[in-house]
Order: sequence, then structure tokens, then C-alpha cells
Amino acid sequence: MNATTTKNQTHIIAEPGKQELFIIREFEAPRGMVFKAFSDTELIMQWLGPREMTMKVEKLENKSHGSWRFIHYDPAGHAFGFNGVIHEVAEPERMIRTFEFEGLPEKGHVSHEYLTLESLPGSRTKMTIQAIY
Amino acid sequence: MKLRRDVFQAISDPTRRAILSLIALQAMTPNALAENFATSRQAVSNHIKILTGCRFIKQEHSGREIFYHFNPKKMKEIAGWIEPFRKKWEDSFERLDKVLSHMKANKK
Repeated sequence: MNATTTKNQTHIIAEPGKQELFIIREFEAPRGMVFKAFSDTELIMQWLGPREMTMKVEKLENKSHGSWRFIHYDPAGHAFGFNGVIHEVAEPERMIRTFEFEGLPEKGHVSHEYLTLESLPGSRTKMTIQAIY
Repeated sequence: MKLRRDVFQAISDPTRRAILSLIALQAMTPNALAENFATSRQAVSNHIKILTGCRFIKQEHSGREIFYHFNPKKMKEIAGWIEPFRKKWEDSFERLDKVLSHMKANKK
């Protein structure tokens, strides 16, 4: 490990009996930049999808009352679609969206996500995703 | 809906979580266990049925008494379920770190 930087850890907090989980991670970049990496189509495609899959952004309306749809393709060409509606985009601190995996046997398993970005000293950013099921 | 008997159903109820906490400390008889709860013996017995149904607890006979034992392997199932999910995010965030450092380099 590099002596000057320690790796930022990904924390996932899921308490038993609660219909929610938290994903918390810090980044070595200012908040505006992290926000851009979460909202720009070209940038999202570089990091979001699972490594072994290719990702297609079918639709991404990054604004309040917009919607989104991403499709991931595995090496055999199988498609996995995800979509949701965007309730609020408050640059650079917050996004509120829904998330649904299209491959489930029944409809209606939609989670509600709050993405919050907080500025930290030293041009760093703390991200918290709260997902409610 | 079909009745599911898995670890997640087991821990979805606060009384069942309390039962698990108690028998994780020591094996207990149904009566000793029921004394810890204000609910009826029947209600506690139903919770035990669900917990044994998903093998979170095992019952053993000792003479005329039945003792409930905790099965720690089931706790590992819960931890194991979240692990691939955490890895996926960690992997994505490491790529995001690289995207951000490119962005920083290009800004200068």
C-alpha cells in the first residue's frame, strides 16, 4: 500500500429486521466532481457496471421528474435491464431515485434510493446511499 | 404467498431475534424460554417452530426435557448473503476512484 494514501473502505450497513441498507464510501475528489461522475453518461459507463459486463445507458434524464434505464450485457449477450424514476436532482448534494431490476419474476420490487454527497476537508467527499425496500 | 422458511424470515421478527439472543448464550427448555416473554406460550411456540423450520435452532432431548440449541452456521448465511453485494460495490468504487483521478488530472 502507498504510504501517503490509504484505501477508502466501502461500508454496507444492513440491520436485521429493517427494510433499508446504507452504502457509505469516501472519495479523494471534491463534491462537484463526484456528483458529475454520478450523473454524466460517459463517466457512469466507466465505473458503475459489473466489470465482466458491458453497459448501455438507454436513458438518463438527470433532472427532477426524469427517468433512467441501464442495460448490462454479459459475455454471452444476455441482457439485464434496470430502470427507475428520478424524483429529485439537487446538484451537487443529493439525488433521489427509484431502482428496479427488470429480470425479477414479479413486478413491484422497487427500491427507493437517497444518494447524498457531503464535502469533507481536503477536497474530499463522503457518499451515502440509503436504499429502502 | 408461500410460507418461506429461511434465515431472513427467522430474523424478521423482534421476538424471534430475542429468542435467538437468549439461546445463543445457553440451551434452554421451552418453558424457561417462554418465561422471558410476556406473550403466550403458544405464540412463543409458533416462533420456535419457524426457527426450527429454518434450522436456526435445533432441539435435543435430555431425559423428559427438550432443549433448544443455537445453530451458529445460520448466522454465517446472513453474512454470506451480503458479501457479493459489498464486493460488487467495492469493485465499482475502485474504478470510480480512477475516473475521479483522471478528471482531476484533466482539470489542471
